[in-house]
Amino acid sequence: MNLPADSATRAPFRPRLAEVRYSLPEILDELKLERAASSFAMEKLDQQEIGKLFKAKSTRGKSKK
Amino acid sequence: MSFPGKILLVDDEAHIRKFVSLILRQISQPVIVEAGNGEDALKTYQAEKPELVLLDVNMPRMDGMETLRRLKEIDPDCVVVMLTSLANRESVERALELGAANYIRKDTPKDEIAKALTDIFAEPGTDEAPPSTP
Repeated sequence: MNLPADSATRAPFRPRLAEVRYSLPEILDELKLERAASSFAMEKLDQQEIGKLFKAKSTRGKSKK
Repeated sequence: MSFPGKILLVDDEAHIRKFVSLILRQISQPVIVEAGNGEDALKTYQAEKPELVLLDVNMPRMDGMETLRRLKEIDPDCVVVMLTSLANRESVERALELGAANYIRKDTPKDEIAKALTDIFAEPGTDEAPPSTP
């Protein structure tokens, strides 16, 4: 099949890249919402994982002092 | 820091309170005061001033998270450990945010529950093991 002459000579379509910026508070809010609503939030944690979370918190608390 | 002499045990199920009391008596001989819901827990806390609160999450009238929040309002230094069958990430992180000292699943073996509790009051650098059960 022959293509029309003008389409054969036209440069291939290139989408224009535009810079997209999001504000940090916006992203953090979105992240918070996703964490609360997703299956990630519903994931059951075993005792070892729970212990790690609390240990990390107490280590952070001590290092702040 | 030594293991607390007075402990408030909050759970709406009497058999769970009894089970946890047995674990606590393996560790030491604390005075154990009990409450069956969050509202009673707040009153008992103010009256008894326990050094440790073991708190269930799913309870009628006032759940454990709200109770934890209010306990921290009354006394920001109170030591609260959540003891619950609910172990999804959301509730664990919520308890962490609200200032719980630890979060223990009820299906954890009793020796591990005892260890998690003694670890909270162990001096840094020591590795106190709870007495083993026969």
